[in-house]
Amino acid sequence: MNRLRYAFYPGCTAHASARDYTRSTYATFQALGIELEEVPDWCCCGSTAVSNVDPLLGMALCARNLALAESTGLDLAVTCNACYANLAPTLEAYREERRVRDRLQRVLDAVDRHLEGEIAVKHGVHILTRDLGLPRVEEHVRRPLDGLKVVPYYGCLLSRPRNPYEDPENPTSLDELLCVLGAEVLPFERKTKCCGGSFMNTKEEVALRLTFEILEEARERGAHVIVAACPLCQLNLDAYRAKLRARFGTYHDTPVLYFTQVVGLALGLDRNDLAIGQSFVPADRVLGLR
Amino acid sequence: MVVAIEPVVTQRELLPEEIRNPYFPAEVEDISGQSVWACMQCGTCSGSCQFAEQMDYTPRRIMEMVRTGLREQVLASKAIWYCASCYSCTVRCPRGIQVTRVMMTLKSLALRAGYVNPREDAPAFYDSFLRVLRMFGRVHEPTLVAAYALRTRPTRVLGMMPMALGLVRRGRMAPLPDRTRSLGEVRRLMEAVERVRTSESAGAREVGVRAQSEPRATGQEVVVR
Repeated sequence: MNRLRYAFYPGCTAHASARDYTRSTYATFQALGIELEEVPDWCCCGSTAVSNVDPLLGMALCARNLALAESTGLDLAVTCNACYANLAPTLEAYREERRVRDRLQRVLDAVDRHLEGEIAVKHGVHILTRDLGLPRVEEHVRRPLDGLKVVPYYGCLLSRPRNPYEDPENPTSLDELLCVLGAEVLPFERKTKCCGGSFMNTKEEVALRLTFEILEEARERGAHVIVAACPLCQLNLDAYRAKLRARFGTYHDTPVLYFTQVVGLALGLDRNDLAIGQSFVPADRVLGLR
Repeated sequence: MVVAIEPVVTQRELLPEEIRNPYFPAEVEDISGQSVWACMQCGTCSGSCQFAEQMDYTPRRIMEMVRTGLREQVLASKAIWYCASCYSCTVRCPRGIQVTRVMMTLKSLALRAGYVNPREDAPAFYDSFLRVLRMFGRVHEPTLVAAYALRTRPTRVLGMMPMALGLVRRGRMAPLPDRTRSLGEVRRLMEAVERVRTSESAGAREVGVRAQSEPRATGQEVVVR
């Protein structure tokens, strides 16, 4: 079988608050024989912030990144849900909505870029579960996660507004992935509920309540670890525990790991290569690593 | 001039011109690419919204107010700023309307037409985001948060310190901003977007679309149920 190769769009958090995600992504993908080549000179995709100020600019930033990625001749891998939910729908609108395509082409012309629209955009979760495939992931498992109870947290934007591999209401790929690693996957009602992350700076009260509800459900279900597939979800669920305790009186000690870290552990990779120690809530104890 | 066919029976035509902007639905449709006339007012969007209880008007009411042409009331509403872009309404809408894109459009119009105080939290945050983007081509989180705090409440920085220190201690804070090498290209792209927009709104004026009216107080409240 040919080695899988992708152009990789890391997103702005990759070199800052989500360095641990980036590091574990490269380590885990490499161990699975998947090559990632960073898109040369990518820029911010605009996140939801830019689309709220200027929808056309939001799409234009995505179009530039898609054009850069397309010129590598590879499909595009994305690991941030927010980036994915900007890039993939922009590509779809570019292909299907005449007016959007016209406008974006005029913008791209001004910077001498060209987008054919033939590239495919995929989230890392689906590269593992669909492109590589669950049986191949299973072959690589060296240290099955026996006895580890996990809840998968997909967040809003892995399955919405649209993902060809997921049901928007009930995505299952993370569940399947964690199953083949040997973990016990618990049902998780809030797996696609909004954590309020985009409001943490602007409407903190609202955001804290939603974050609390997600953590509370994970605790009630007896999860050892919450598994995230997005740097913004991870940070939001991980970094505000003290504030949540002050607000609601309960401290949640359930760590939040990236799916790349959990897969890497099952593959037998070293915890340092997976940047396991970089989350706010330590995961070493529940993982039996100490 | 009537720019769209009104398919449902309402009392729209009874509303006085001062509070009803007949071009508003077309303006929203043009930017969002979504047909507000497809809405059948079922309320699935409101029922799916995790933030509906915080809103002064639910998403369903916002859709109807857009069609009614209540530009000022919609753009001055708190509701649009409570949309977190989670897309729950969008995936459930039985008429296939991407309500999230409508909400984004309304926020952008509210900012552009001056219906929101730019020092308020959400507008200030978005604006800070754009500034950082223009500076580096990528968004450096510490710079973003600092810029935002300075624009709103500088004392905010104190509240953010534990989080910032936590990130530093864990090696998750890049001290120096990460840059796009061809920053000039990103800025040219931003300018090109502006040009595309202004050339289109100039074209719209020619065919008689009143694209952007200035905010004005009418003192009249219209209730859309």
